[in-house]
Amino acid sequence: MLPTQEFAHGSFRDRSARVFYSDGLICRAIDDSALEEWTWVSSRPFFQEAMNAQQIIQTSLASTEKSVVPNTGYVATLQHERVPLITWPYEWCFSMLRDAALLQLELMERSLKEDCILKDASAYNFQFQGTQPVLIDTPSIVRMNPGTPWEGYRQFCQMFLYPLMLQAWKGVHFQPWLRGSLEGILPEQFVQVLSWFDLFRSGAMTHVWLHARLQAVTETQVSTASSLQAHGFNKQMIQNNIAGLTRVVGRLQWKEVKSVWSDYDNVTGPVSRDGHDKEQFVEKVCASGHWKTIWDLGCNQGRYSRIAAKHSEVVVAMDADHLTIDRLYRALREEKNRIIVPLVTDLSDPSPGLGWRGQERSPLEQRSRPDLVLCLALIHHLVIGRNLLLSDVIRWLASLQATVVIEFIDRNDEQVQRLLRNRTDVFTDYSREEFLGLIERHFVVQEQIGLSSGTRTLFQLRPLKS
Amino acid sequence: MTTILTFAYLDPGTGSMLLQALVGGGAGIVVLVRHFWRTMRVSRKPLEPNTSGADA
Repeated sequence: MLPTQEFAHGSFRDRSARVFYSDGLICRAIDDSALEEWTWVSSRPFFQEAMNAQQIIQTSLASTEKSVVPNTGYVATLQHERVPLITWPYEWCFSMLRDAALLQLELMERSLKEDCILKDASAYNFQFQGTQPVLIDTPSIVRMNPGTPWEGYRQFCQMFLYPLMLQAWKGVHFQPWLRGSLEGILPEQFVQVLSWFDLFRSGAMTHVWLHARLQAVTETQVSTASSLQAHGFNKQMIQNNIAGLTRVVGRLQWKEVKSVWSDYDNVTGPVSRDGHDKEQFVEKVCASGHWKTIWDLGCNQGRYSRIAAKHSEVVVAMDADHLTIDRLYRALREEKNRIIVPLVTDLSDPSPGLGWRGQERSPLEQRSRPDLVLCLALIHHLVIGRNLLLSDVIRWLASLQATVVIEFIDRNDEQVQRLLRNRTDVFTDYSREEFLGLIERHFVVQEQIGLSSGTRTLFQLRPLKS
Repeated sequence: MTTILTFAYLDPGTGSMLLQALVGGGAGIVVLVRHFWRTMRVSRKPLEPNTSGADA
């Protein structure tokens, strides 16, 4: 197993264990120290139990030959189960981030009992298999160094605790903050957001206010870790902290009850009248093949994602409305759905390449390529609501080189009229004639049906070869 | 908290480590007091005049 490919762009911080791809497999080259840790940690009962429960990604030692990665210092390779879709925390909803945080704390608690510890607490160490969070960075679990504090505590606060508090206490969406800084929200920044009242909430005084104050503490002559170790710091103190953090995170609830799109599927009018016909059309297209990846753009409450899930290995359900995605995630979690991954995604402003050289966290299109795209009741929002050019939207859909199910809504439809009500109508490109011309230029129309409302038409499109 | 705040070198993890002792329970506070006591003692040493006459 010689990795001729380069290491994954986002895998460079931990020099002892780096990810690479080989023949479609997800592998991790590890050095002597990481191999020693793996050998010890992977034999612990909690590790095996967590892996069997799919809380830790299925991992095995692929090779222990010294020649695994020549001249690099890596001596062995771990092989990981492939996660169908890689997502980033700034694409998750509140409940996804909270579930990942609770899993981090649970794994910490269980590993500490067996003298292991998660050496960091990056939210990027987790991925979702459907609605099940899973730890993918197995080398982050190591034997603990007795008497030293948890190195990941500050990172946990920055990447999990503060974003969750921001959403739960202030109603501010955390995704733009995490997208703006891959290190998360710093204690000294987050404390500025809180009011005096907030400081009396569970965990605020210690994990936020005091944490921010202590960031100013500087020392030159004493190693804090070794000093604390010498003066009696012990594992029980970490366990107490983990128990406290679990209580704090467990109490965090986002109590938003309504957003612009949260009741979309419950409204009357053409949306509800056409629903049954749309379901049948989507079912027919989805059942015509087995799809590896289906994208449901503007998924709302996941009505069509659920149909797609019956015929696909993974369904990426995207919507810009955070509350809608949060509700969908919670519903799918109840259903124990392992196919649909809901993501907070604004198609007019999708995740860009971020981090070192803009490659550390890649855009969605580099992580996932669909075979089938559902684009139902969406393009009028992109063109009229977000000012995108209709021609650009169609060209972008064609660039995905996937079968497309798309709904066109006429200008005289009440939902389009609603969008135009308070704005100057400059959207001369939004017309049925323009739309038909564009799809004929980029696609082959395989089927089309008019819906009973009379203002909406569904198309099944096959892309022309680019 | 006054003595350790006077040094210029920034170690962003220091405060977070100290906080862990504080939230770690009663025994953690004892650890913290011992740590601060030692830090204060060590931090004063360089300020003492060099009486040996030897070059540093």
